[in-house]
Amino acid sequence: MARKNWKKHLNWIIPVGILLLIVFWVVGSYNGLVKADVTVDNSWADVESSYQRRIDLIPNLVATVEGAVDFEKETQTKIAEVRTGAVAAKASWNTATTQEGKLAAANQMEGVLGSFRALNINVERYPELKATQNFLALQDELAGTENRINVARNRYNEKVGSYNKMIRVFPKSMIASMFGFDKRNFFEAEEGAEEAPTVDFT
Amino acid sequence: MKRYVWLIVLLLLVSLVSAVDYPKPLGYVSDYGEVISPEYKAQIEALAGQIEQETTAEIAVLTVESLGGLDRETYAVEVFEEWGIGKEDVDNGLLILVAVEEREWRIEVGYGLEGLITDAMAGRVGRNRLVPNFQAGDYGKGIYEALVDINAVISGEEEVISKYSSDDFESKSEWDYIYLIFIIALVVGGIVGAITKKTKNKKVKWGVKLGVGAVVAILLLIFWSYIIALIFFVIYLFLSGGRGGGFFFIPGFGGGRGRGGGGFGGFGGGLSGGGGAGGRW
Repeated sequence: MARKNWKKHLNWIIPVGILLLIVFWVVGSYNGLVKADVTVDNSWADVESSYQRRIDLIPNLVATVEGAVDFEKETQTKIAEVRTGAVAAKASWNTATTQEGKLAAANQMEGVLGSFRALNINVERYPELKATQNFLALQDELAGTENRINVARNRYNEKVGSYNKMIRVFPKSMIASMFGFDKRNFFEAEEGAEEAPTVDFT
Repeated sequence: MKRYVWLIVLLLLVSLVSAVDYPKPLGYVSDYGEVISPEYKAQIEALAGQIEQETTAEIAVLTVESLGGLDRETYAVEVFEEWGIGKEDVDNGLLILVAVEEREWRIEVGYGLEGLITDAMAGRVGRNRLVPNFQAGDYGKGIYEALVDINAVISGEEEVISKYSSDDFESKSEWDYIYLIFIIALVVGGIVGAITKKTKNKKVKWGVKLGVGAVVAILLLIFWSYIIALIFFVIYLFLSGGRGGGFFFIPGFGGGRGRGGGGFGGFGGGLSGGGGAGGRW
């Protein structure tokens, strides 16, 4: 008797089972995509905060160098210029709200850092600067900041890479296009910014 | 069916093996460069153990012969991530990396310790403790003194302390629940097997089995997690025996995270973001 009942229900048990499997897969895929998308956002936040750190730090570094030694008149003027540039870059970072705006400000600061390095202050010539604990400390902080930017950038690109792969590989790509998961952009380093700038004034 | 299951198991194992060849942790001290004397090694181990007991912070010391062409920053951050130094919830790990051939050191600070051990402080500890001792060839002494400084900074600080105790170093991942899933699959499979035992019709048998399995899996999916539900379903199909099933997708299966192990109890899954300082001697 019972056996006959089972047979009668067969017509819906199998389709429902298959349907459940499909639902199961769709939900799982969707959740996986959302998770990957959020991870990309989080790692972008890390990139931003490491840039923030750098932007807060550089004006300090410049000021310390400026205050530590009696430079020649010419050098003094140049350092003052760098400081003005750093302040301007910081201001545009603080007012930027979009990812593009932040990137532009970050690159502006990159330029400031470049012109600071171009001053080519030879530390060996200024033993009083080299000996300043403050200067050594700032050098460590700056090196650490550059390294953080690198790490955050690499991790961001890693996350973007695996996310982009996820939304393009069949069959998950179906789910991705169905729910509008778009490709995310890699963080492309500016020309010349690929290698972490080291602060070596020698 | 059996063949598929083994194939899946094999694939999972392969995904667990990491791609890059970094040294494995041997304890708090992993002296691959063979530069630390046994006396200092014991002292460093004891101090690191004491620090972990008091603050839950995890200190790792790694000496290598060479960085193999990588720069010290990259090497340190990668080893840190792979070893998972520090407790996962507060990232209170710290790595002292010494590359003998390159004559380079780096103190890599986990996220959670960055506030206490600033880059400047890490740099000062390195320059004042590591460098002079390393120059004198006394590696163990330098590292030990650095650890004493670090201990002084972090001891008694609330923010360092993880809610995990020292013994409970491993955070639970889905894999830790596998025995539980196994039991659930066994029970459900047993009940379904008993119900359908007398059923001769294969289609009916499999309809019921798949139906019940899918319902339980979806419940697990809703109330627990996706991976759990999948693992259950695979085990369930395997346990309910017979042929069928065959091909199904395993979307989004990332590799599990390998955990370093050793006599000292392993590290807790902490992460660093490039904080710290380094230099040469």
